[in-house]
Amino acid sequence: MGKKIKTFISITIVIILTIVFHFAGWLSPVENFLHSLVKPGSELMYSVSISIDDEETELFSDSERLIQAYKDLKTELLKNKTDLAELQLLQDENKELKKQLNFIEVNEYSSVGVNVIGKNTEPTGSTLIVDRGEKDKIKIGDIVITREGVLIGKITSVDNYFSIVRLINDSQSKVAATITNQEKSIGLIEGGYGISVHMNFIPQNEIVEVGDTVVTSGLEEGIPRGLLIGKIEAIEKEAYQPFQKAVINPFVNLEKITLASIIINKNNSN
Amino acid sequence: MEFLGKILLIFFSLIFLIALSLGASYLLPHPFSNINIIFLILIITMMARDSGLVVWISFFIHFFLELYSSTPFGLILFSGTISILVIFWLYKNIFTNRSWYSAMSLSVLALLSYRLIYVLVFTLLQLLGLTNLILKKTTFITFGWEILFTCLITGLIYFILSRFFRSFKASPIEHGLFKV
Repeated sequence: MGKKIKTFISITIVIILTIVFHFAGWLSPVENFLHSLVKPGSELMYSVSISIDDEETELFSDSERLIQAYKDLKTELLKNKTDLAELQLLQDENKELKKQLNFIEVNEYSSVGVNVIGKNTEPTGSTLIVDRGEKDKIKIGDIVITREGVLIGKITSVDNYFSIVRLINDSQSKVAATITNQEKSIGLIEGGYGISVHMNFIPQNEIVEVGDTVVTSGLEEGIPRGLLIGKIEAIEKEAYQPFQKAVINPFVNLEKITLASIIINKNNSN
Repeated sequence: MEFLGKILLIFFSLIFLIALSLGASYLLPHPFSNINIIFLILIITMMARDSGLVVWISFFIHFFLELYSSTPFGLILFSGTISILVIFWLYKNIFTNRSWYSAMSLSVLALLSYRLIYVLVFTLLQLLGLTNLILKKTTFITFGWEILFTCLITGLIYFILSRFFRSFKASPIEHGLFKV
């Protein structure tokens, strides 16, 4: 029994020393070396896992359904073109008004393109591993978007050559958001509900509809306003509750991200 | 030279095992992606080799897995290494034979102790304010899937290996508590 206790204590001491050396940064060369060994394989397996089980392919049982789907897409395309034209007009008008008010740009942002080389293997989180780190001026808290400008998460951990991104559907993720309805309702996007996310703390008296778009509100430091998040799929409203909730379907499939951009706030990086 | 060759072989085997574990997690569909390949291999190696080296192998593998995790550093390392140590003691002192059902039992106990230590240390870190992470109900469901599928696959693989290799054949181990 005495030998077992000695073994247990010695192993515990080794583990504690390893943890201390990690936080002191002395194990960085070893960790970077191990990463470089496994990175090619991890990247390959991750890209294979993305290509397998392509859920984007839709099958049609008859030609009528195919024709109807085609018609629906044409209608949606026309509506999007109209919205785009209106958006362009609004952007021009906004620029003009800002000039007139001598509006000063407080924040300057730049971005770094990254490749996703892996994802977490632990069930406690929904995270991705990207191939940029401290050497590229990335910091904890920087936000991550897809190339189309959809918010997917925030940087939660940074090493020299890689970083870990906490996705918006992670149970610890919280993002201040606003709905593009008439009242511009604000709320908090929280993960931990599988592939969808929930928007909580939406005032009960404000009108929210299925199909409304949700974007970042800009109320959080380091997150610009207007980044797309998702669309409202369902609303949960209970009488006598001060707030209502909405179930949001993110615009991107968070399981199939291969490329992303990290937004770096130049003011913070300086 | 032979010793160096052995060290290199063990090192590259560990790298291969880590890559296999990551691959299984990425490529297999849910809920099969929850199979804990690391524990599966460690338990089978423990029963084949009868050596305490498996505890140190567990240490190095879980150290590496820490780099791919968003949990506080040391959580997986401590839980993984100590649970394998506990299971090794159980294997040497309580379990009396080498068989597919002992392999299954060991894998269930190993994963139960791993996740129990994991939850205890997690709770301690929360109480000390060292983490904001929360364990949700879905996490425990995932733990359940992990234990179920890992023990089934461990038993199956051990059964197949025992048909082809002598070191896996059902036999009483030397230091069992109840000897015939």
